[in-house]
Amino acid sequence: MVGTGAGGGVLAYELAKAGLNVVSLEQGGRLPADHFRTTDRPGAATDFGVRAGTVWPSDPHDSLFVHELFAGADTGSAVQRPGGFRQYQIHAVDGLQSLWNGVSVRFSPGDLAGWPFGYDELAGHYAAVERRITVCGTAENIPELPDGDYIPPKPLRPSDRMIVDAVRRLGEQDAYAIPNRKAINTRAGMETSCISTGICTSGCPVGSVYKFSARLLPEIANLPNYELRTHAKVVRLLRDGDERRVEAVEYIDTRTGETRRLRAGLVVLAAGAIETPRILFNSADERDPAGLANRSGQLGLRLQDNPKAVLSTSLWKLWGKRRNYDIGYGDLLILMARTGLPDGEAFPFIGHAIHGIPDAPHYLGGLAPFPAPVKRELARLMFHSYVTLGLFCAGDPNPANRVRPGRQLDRFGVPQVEIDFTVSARTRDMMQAMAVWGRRVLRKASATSIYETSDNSGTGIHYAGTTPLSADPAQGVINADLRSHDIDNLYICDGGVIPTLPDKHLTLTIMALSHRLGRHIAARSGRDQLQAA
Amino acid sequence: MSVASIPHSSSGATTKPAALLEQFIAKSPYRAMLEPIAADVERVALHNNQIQAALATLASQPGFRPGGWLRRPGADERAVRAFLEFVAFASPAFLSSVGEWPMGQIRG
Ligand SMILES: Cc1cc2nc3c(=O)[nH]c(=O)nc-3n(C[C@H](O)[C@H](O)[C@H](O)COP(=O)(O)OP(=O)(O)OC[C@H]3O[C@@H](n4cnc5c(N)ncnc54)[C@H](O)[C@@H]3O)c2cc1C
Ligand code: SF4
Repeated sequence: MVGTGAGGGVLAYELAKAGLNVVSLEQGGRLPADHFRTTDRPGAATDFGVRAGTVWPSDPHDSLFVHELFAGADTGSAVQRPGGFRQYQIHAVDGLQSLWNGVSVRFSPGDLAGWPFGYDELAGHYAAVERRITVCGTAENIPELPDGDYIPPKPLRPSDRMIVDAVRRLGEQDAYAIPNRKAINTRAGMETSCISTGICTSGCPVGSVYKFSARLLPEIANLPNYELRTHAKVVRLLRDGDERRVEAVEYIDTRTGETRRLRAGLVVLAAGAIETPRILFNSADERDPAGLANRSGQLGLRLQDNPKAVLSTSLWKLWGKRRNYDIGYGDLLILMARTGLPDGEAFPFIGHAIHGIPDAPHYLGGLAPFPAPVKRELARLMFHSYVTLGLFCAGDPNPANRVRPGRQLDRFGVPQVEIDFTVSARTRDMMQAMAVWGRRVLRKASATSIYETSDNSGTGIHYAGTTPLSADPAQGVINADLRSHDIDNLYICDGGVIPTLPDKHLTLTIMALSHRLGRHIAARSGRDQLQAA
Repeated sequence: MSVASIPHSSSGATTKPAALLEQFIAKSPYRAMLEPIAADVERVALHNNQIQAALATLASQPGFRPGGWLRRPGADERAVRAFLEFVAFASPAFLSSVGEWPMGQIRG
C-alpha cells in the first residue's frame, strides 16, 4: 500500500484485519498524538493564530491555506507555477485528513452516472464506513443527498437558525439547509468526544475528527501481519519479465536518502490524485514509455477540483450578543440548492454555513476604514455575528486540465509533474451564480457588507479524475474493481479514481471505495489461496 | 511581561529588530493590550517570515523610528502595524472583553 490518507488508511485496516500481509509505505512521518493539543492548538491558542507564512495584508478566505503541514514547492508532486494550479498536499501519516474538515456526504445515484457500477453497489460500503468512522447527521430523505448511518449532530445555534430561516424564505423547492454530516464523534464522555473548538481545519486536538492514526491504526498497529513504514517515499514501480505484473516498489528512505526496494504480490497506490499519476509516469520503461497503466493514454487527464464561492458577512441581528450556546464544530449546516447559468441551464451545488469564534481576527480587513478606538468597539459589538458560506459545484472534466510528466526534480531528485489547468467561462459563470444565491441568503439573514471570493485553482482541495474508473479500457485507467486495465496486480484507491467530480465532497466516497476494494482483495486472495491449495 | 523585560542579547543591547518592535509597541494605539504580552509578541514576530524581514529592513535604515499613526507609512511599516493590530485583537485582553478567554474552557 502506498499512502495512508483517506484511501490508504481504510484499505490498510480492511486488509490487515482480513489477515493479509500488509505494508503501508508512507512518505512522511507520524505526528505525535498530542500534536494538535499541545504544539499546534487551533485558532489563536497558538501564537495568536500567526504562522510563519501569515502575511499582511491577506485574503481572510486564504487563512486556511497557510499551514506548516502543507508540502512546499521542493517536495510537492507538481512544479508550482505563478498563477497556476495550487496543489495542497500533506506528507504525513493521514495525508490531507490531518487537517480535513470531516464533511462526509454520499454521492447520489445521479452522481454515479457513467461509472461502471451504480449506487446500490456502493450503499453498503458507505454504511460500513460511516459506522466505522462515526458520522454525525440527520436523515432528511433528500433524493440528491442520500441518507446514511448517523450519530446525532450538535445543536444548531442562533446564526444557524437564521440561515435555515433565510433559505426557507427563498421559497425554492430544491433549496435545503440541514444539519451538517461530519466524521466527528459527537457522543459525550469518550476520549475522542468533540470538545467544540469551533473549527476542524486546524487539526483536531482530541482525535474526534476521523483520521487513520486516531481511529483505525491503533487497532492494527500491533498485528503481526501489518507494518507501517514511514519516511518511505515511493518513486516508481518495477516490473519483472511479465509485462502485466508489478514485481516491486522502489522507494527512498527520506531520512537516509537510501534507495530501497520492496517486493510485493500486489500493489495499491493511494498517494492522492496528483502523486499517484506522478509515480506511474515515473515508472515508464521501454515497454510503456508513456507511463505505467497508461496504454489508454488517459493517465493524468481531467484533473478536477470543486469550483467554489465563499461569502462572509456580519449579521446585524447578532450584534452585541454574547455567546450562551455551544459553538460546536463551527459549520453546523449543509446548504444545497440549484441555480441557473445565463443560458438558462440549471446546476446543483452544495456547501456549508460556518459560524466560529473569530479569535484569530481575520475580520480586521473589513474594519480597515475605522480609527483604532472605533475599530475596537465595532469588533466587540460584532464579535459573535460572523457567518461564512462556502459553496461548491461540480468539477470540470476537461481533458486539457491535466497532470503530465515534467522535468524539474524535487528535493529528493525525483521528477515532478506539470499541471495544465485553466478555468472555463462556464465554470466562472457557475461560481458567479453560486455567489448570487449566497448573497440572497445572507441578505435575508440580515447581512451587512459581504466579502466574497471565488476560485477554482486548487483551493477546493478535492482532487479527482486523474486515474479514472471505467469499464472501457480505452476510457479509463482502472476497471470496476479499481484494478489497472494493464497491470493485473496493481490497484489504485484515492481521489484520482473518481471519473467525474460532482458538487459533493468526495472523501466519504474514496473511503467507501476503499472498503469495497478491501473486500474484493480479501476475496481474491482467498480464491488464489484455494487455487494454490 | 512588560516591554522592558523583552530579552536582551549577550552584548547587553537589545537586538535591533526586537528593539524596533518595542518602539512599535510603545507607539501602538493597542499598547495597553500588547505590553502585557510583549515577550510573546516578539517571539511570534521573529518567527513570521514577513514581519521578521520587515523589521530587519526597517532596523537597517539609519535613523528609522516608527512614526506616529498619522504619518503615511511604507509597506514594511504597514505590515508591522497590521501584525500588531492582529495580535492585539487575538490577545487575552481583547478576547476576555468579548467573553472568550480563557480559550478552550468555555467553548462548549
Ligand atoms: C483543510 C482541508 C479541508 C478538507 N475538508 C474536506 C471535507 O470536509 N470533506 C471532504 O470530503 N474532503 C475534505 N478535504 C479533502 C480530503 O482531505 C481529501 O479529499 C482526501 O484526504 C484525499 O484522500 P487521498 O487518499 O486521495 O489522498 P491524501 O489524503 O493526499 O493521501 C495521500 C497519502 O499518500 C502519501 N504519499 C504521497 N506521496 C507518496 C509517495 N510518493 N510515497 C509514499 N507515500 C506517499 C501522503 O503522505 C498521504 O499519506 C479537505 C482537505 C483539506 C486540506
Ligand atoms: S470542533 Fe470538535 S471535532 Fe472539530 S477539531 Fe474541535 S474538537 Fe475536534
